[in-house]
Amino acid sequence: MAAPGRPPWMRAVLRAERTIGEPLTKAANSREGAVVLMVAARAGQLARGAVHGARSRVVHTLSLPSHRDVQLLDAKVDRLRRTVEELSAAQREQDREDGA
Amino acid sequence: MSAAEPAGLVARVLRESERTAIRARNGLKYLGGSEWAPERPTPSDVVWRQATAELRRYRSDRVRFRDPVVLYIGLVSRSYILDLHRDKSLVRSLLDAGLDVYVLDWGTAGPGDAHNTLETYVERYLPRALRAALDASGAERASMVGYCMGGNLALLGLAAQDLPVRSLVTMATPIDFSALPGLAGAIREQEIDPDRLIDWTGNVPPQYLSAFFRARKPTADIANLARLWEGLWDDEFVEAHQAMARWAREHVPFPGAAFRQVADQWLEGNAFMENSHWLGGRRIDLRRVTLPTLSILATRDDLIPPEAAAPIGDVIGSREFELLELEAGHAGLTTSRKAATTTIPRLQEWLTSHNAPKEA
Repeated sequence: MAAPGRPPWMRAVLRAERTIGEPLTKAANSREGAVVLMVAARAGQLARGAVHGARSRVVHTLSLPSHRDVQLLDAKVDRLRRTVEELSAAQREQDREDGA
Repeated sequence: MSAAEPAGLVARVLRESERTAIRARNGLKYLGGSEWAPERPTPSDVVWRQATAELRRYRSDRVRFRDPVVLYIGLVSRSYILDLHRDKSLVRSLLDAGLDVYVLDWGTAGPGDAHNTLETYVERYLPRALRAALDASGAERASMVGYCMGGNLALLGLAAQDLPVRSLVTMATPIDFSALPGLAGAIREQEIDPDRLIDWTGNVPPQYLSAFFRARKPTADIANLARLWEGLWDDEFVEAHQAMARWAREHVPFPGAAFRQVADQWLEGNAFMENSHWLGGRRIDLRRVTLPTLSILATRDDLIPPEAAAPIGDVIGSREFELLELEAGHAGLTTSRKAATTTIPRLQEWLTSHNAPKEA
């Protein structure tokens, strides 16, 4: 494994990281930091959503299903599959109880 | 200057240049996506599966104890933290103690799982996985180990129904949600609307969770990269580093319906502290959890601070209760050097003392 004695450059990097990182960590872990972070993440999500929406509209003008349409259909099939799996599992449990 | 000094200097320079050449080679391989650390290094077999959830039994010809041990974590990360790396595997340590070990992984929720509630996991998947473990082991009761949010699911499961469980271990499990910082605090104070975190799939996307986890230590990536460069000449170091980095960045979507319950009951209602949790349309009583319980918390845990995890003994009904405090961070509870010398031996001892020898 890597030797435990750290070279000077590494000690300097870790010291700098601690110096800069501690106040940043404190800010990021605050409620306000979380709000800012979530707003930024959501803005990214909305931007991606807008691109998808525009692409879908173009594809729809050609009377074709968009990638999102297929994803939504997939999701519905997925939900149906889960329902069937749950019913099968519940039936197996019932059979087991009846057998016991 | 003695004669040995120039010789030593030359040796150091030669060693460093040799290491730098290996670093360059390994660095290119790392960037190219080479795998040093296999996922789930300990051999296992899937013994139960429903939807995305699966239960794995770890192979061992050294099982000396009767009751199986079922481990699991929460709904936002993958369970392979429990079997991270061949030298840092909680699973392997428990196998070494002669236990029959199972890991329940909730899997990666897709759009079809968006309607999954806490009841789905606690009242359906968990009892079925336990039953499968008991069937495979030929035992009547199991031990449960819940890591982080996995401990909350265990408490709910035990309070809501009679589960065939002999003993419980919780690790870094939050109880007082008013003590949680960051995102949890912002949701609790209604500064973030939980519904706005749910995307078109009906789930909370993993990008939000990753952003939150990365923001806990915004400059940690710099230190990690420096550590990686320093140890890049050493394949064992790279293997351990890659295993941990992969787990830390891999989050899974949080099913939307369960997330709404967590936001409403755990964060806003502080339902574990207030003993006011509703499940399946009825109120459950955490004091129904009366089985022997060991709770382990990490004193340097910034995700689940010790004050959030410590009150567990006050809210459950177990008379045989032990709280073990360990000087470690959240993931370090099972993967640090301290874990190897403190947490894991104590966990082995506690689990084996609450088990019985396997009949020949």
